[in-house]
Amino acid sequence: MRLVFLLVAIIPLLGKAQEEFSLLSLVQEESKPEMVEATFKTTRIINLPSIEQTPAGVLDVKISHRFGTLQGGPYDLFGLDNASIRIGAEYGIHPNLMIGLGRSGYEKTYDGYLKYKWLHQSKGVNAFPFSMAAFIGTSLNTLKNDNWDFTDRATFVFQMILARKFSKQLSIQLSPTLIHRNLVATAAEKNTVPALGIGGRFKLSNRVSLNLEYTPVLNNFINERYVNSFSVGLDIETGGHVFQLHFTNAVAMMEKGYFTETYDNWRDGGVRFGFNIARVFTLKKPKLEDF
Amino acid sequence: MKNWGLLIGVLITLSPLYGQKYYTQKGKIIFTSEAIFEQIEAVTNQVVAVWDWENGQFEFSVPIKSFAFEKALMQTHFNENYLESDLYPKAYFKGQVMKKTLLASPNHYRIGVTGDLTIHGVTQSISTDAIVEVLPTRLIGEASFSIAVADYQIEIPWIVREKVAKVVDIAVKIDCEPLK
Repeated sequence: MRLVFLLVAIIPLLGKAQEEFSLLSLVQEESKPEMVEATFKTTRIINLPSIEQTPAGVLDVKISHRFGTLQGGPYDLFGLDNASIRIGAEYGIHPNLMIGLGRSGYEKTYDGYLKYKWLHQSKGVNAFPFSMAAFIGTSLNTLKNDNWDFTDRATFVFQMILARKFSKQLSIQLSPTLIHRNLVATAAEKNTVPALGIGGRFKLSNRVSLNLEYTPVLNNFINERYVNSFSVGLDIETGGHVFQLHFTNAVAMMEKGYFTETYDNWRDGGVRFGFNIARVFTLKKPKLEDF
Repeated sequence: MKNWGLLIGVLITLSPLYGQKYYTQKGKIIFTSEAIFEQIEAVTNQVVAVWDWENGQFEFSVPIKSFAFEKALMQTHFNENYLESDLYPKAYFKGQVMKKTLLASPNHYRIGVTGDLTIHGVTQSISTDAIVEVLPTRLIGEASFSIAVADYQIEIPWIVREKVAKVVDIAVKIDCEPLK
C-alpha cells in the first residue's frame, strides 16, 4: 500500500517534466477574418487611383510634376526645363470613403472625386479574395474660351477598382473605366469612352516598390492621334512621405487627360520623367484604448 | 476503509496537476517610442495570457496587427516594414515568475519575472519586476521593461533615425480570472 502511495505522489512530478507544453493552448482563441492591408503604398499607382484609401481623419497632400519629353535632349535637360504640375489633396471622411480635389496646370483643370471601398480582401475565416472600390470623378477645364459654356468644360469618370494583393510583394489591379466628355473636338470622337486601367506593383524591399500602369482605351472612341498611356515607376517611402518617381508618356494627371488625351509615344522617345510626392497629416486622431 | 484513505491520498497528491490557472484574453500592452522628433505610442487590448498559479509559469501572446496607433500610416509601416506582421503575426512571452514568494493572502506584491520574449521571429531572454495584486478570485499583474529594437532584428532606416527610438518601452497589464 505504501508503494502505491509513493507512485501516486510521483505523478505530479512527472507532469512537471513535460516542459514543452504551452499554457496558451488551454485558451481557445476567437478566430476572425484578417483584413489584407497595404495593397499599394499610396492612393495612386502612378496616375491611376489605387485601391488604397486615405484613412479616416487623414489629409494627404500630393504635389505632382510631369516634365517635358526626353526628346528635348540636353538643351532642355531631357525635359526638366518644362514642368506640368498638379497640386491635390485627399481626405478620409470615413474608413471606406475619401474625397479628393486637385488643380492642374494642364488646361487649367480642377478635378474632384469620391472613392468608396466596399469589399475588403481578407484571409483567415470567411476569407475574401479581392478588394473592390468605386471611383466617381469630374473635372473642369478653365481655359479662356468664350465659345464654351460651363457644361462644355466638364468631364466625368466612373471607375470600378478591383485589386488583389497576391503576396507581400505582388499586387495587381484592374480598373474598368468610363469617361464621359461633354464636349469633344470632332464629330468622329465619342463622348463616352470605355477604357481599362491595369496596374501592378512589385516590392523590391520593404520601402521600395516597382510600379507599372497601362491604360488602354477601346479603339475608334478617341481621335487617332492619341495613344494609350504607359507608365513605369518606383514608390519610395520614407516615414510620412511617399515619393513616386516615374517615366510616363502621359502629361495630364486627371483621368480624362491620361486616358483619352495622351499624345506622346514611347517609341519616339515621347517619355517624360515625373514624380508625385505624398505627405500625410493626421487631422483627427482616433481615440486609442486607455491603458 | 483503507480504500477511502487511498482515494483521499490520490486526490491530495493529484491536486497540483489540476492546480489553479488564471487567464485573460483582453490583456493590454502599450509601447512607447520616444525619439527626438516624434513620440509614438501604440496600444492593444488583445493580449492572451495564461498564468499557472501553482508552478509560476506564465505565458502571453499578442497579435501584432492589433496594435492601434494615432497615425494610420505609422500603423501600416509598423506592420509592413518594421514588425513584418505577415511573416511574424504574433509576439510571445514564455516565462516564470522568478521568486517563489508566498502570494497567498490578498495584497500587492512585487515579484520578479523572467523568460523568453519572441518578437519579429527573434527570441531574447528578458527579466523584469512586476506588481501583482492578488484578489480572492482574480490576479492583476503589471510590468514594464525596455527592449532594444536591434536585438529583434528590426531595422530602423537612417532617414527616420530621429523619429523612431532605438530602445522602446513596453508595459503589460493583465487582469486574469480563473481558467475553468
